[in-house]
Amino acid sequence: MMKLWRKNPCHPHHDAACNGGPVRLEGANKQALEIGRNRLVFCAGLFTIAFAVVAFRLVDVTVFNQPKEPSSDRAERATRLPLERADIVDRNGVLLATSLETASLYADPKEIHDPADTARQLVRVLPELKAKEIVEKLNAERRFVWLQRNLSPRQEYEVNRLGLPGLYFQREDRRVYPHGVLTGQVVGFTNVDNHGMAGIERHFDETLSKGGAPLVLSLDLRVQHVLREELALGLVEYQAAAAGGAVLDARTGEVLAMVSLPDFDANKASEASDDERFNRMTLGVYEMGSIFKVFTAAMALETGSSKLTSSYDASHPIQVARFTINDYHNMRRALTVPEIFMYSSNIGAARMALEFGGVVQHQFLDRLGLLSPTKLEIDELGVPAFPAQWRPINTMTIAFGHGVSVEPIQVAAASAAVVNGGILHDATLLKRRAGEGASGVRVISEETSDEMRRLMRLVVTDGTAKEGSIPGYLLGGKTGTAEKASLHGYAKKALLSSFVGAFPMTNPKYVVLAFYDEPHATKQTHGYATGGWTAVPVVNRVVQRIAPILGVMPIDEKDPAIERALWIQINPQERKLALN
Amino acid sequence: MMQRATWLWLAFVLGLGFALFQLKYRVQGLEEKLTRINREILQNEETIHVLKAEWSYLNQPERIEALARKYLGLRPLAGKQYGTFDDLPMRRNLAPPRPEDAAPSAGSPSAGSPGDAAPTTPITPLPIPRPQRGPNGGVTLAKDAQ
Repeated sequence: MMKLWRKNPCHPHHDAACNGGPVRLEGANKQALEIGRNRLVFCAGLFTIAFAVVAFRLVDVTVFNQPKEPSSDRAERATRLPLERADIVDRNGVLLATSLETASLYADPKEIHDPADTARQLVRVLPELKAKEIVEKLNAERRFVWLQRNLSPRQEYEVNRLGLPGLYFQREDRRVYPHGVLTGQVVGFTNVDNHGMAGIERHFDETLSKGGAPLVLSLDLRVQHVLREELALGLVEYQAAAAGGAVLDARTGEVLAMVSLPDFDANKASEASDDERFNRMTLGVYEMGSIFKVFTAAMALETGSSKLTSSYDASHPIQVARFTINDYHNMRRALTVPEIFMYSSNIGAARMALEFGGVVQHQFLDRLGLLSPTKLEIDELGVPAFPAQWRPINTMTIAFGHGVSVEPIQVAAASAAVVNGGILHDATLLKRRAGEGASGVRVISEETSDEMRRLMRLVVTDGTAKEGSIPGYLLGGKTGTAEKASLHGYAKKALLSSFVGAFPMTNPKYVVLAFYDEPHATKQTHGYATGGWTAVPVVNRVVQRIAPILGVMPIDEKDPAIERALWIQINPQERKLALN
Repeated sequence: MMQRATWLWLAFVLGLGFALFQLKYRVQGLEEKLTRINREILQNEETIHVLKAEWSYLNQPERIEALARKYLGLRPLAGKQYGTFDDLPMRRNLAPPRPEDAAPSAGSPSAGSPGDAAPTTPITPLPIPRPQRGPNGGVTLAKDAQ
């Protein structure tokens, strides 16, 4: 090729032809040679341009377009699992709800030739299906029918082994509750499309469905288990219609455990009855009975209308219009405030309430959050019921817990405020972060709270809750036995027996509430179905079991410092130590 | 001359091509490996996730309680079973004196053993007081035994 560009055609190798100087061609030969040469030059030019383009493109692609190279994108990225819904864990990180991938079986009826045979074979490996329904579905004029959602890996394998045409699997996330029975009421459940239908799952549906970090609840699964087990034992023993209970952190309002019986398994929520799904701690509103005397006494001491030494005539029932207010055990004499509290005197409480009056009572109960729904993070919340017109008779009955219906969890939160030094924290199901939770509203003074702690300890040592005098944990509290309102006034036999306690009473850390709906007396309870004989033993056992779990050290009750902290003068005549 | 250059170039181009292909295959292999490892990571994460759920399921308090009752013979802790260090009597120095304690090490006060600083107490073993049963059933160790 190089030779074509040579100006001098006389090459050293062709000496023979060039001996006489350059050869000159003339005429037609010359013309033909010229044409050939021009054509060659033209083609060479074209090739040069083409190669230049290729070279240019090569440099362009290999050097300048490096970042756009898609080879690394072909590799599957090791990202976090694409979870559709975030997990829910308890305060110690125990998994309460998570999403697992399962296979769901669907069919394309167009591809199925023999629906009857397909259905028969399917039912053999999936016994919960009904052949008739399957045939109906497979005869449908659609290209997609669900046959069974969320198969186990084993079932998936069995169906695959049948080798039937037209059957397909769809990967789906399924919500699984490893502790479904324990936490069904609180955590709630989702429907088959992973939308929260109850409890935390429903309240935080939006947040949870975005995925991300697990939601940390305030629940402690161990405490939840103890509370549920003890409540369930009592439910059987007293043959009660229902039961409820809660354990609260007295200083933060965190709910460590909340149980409502009967309950259900969140993994089989669709099989649960309405009664089982009903959360009695939050959705139910009850007249809590004498537990309200905690608030009555706190009110009286806070407003100064009563002192611990004040005494009230409780010798005769009070007659107001057609109502009679009487005591369970009428002492037939004047009672001091500690006596009214420890013997749970309705007459005394009513007289105390009349001294500070209905307006104060209404304001105070409202401040304690008892007259509006709680701010608990679930949607199943009841609305407290109270009289629109707060007449003196209402003031008197509300003093001992009749006439106002509240959610039991509210009572626990309000009781926590009474014993913890007077700061009300809203009950919460979310774990508070360290340092958080100092906020709260002061509802009573430190001094009143201190007096209330002594009064509540007295109830356990000498009063209606003697069954709760466990050594070491300084339990204190107040019993309640309410006659349930029916269409025809109050039913004497249908009781709501309850107890709200706190421990250790010198510096309460936890509040425990338990109640039984319509318990029956047994031999163990000496024929009583009152709070002191039903709810108190249960709370007693719960405290004994959870105190070691929660790291509450036993306290020596005989320690003079402890005795002094809880000392109370019951009655000027008979001076007595509260702890003896 | 010309031919040698041509051969050289040819060898160079061949070598370059070979190296390029080698590199390409190596990269391809690495990419496949990366893909495989990433897929394995995903699979493992999924397995971990399932195992976590199973772990939580196996840790049902009710189940643990039943197992503990069956195999351990442990019972819930009662309040009276607690003790504090204050309840314990002080530990006596029951061991016979060691030789380095007996010979006063005058040269090194910093490296002295505890025996140097403490006043020499007569080493007479005292009986550990018997635990006394408290009035409420709790076991208390006598505090004044020291």
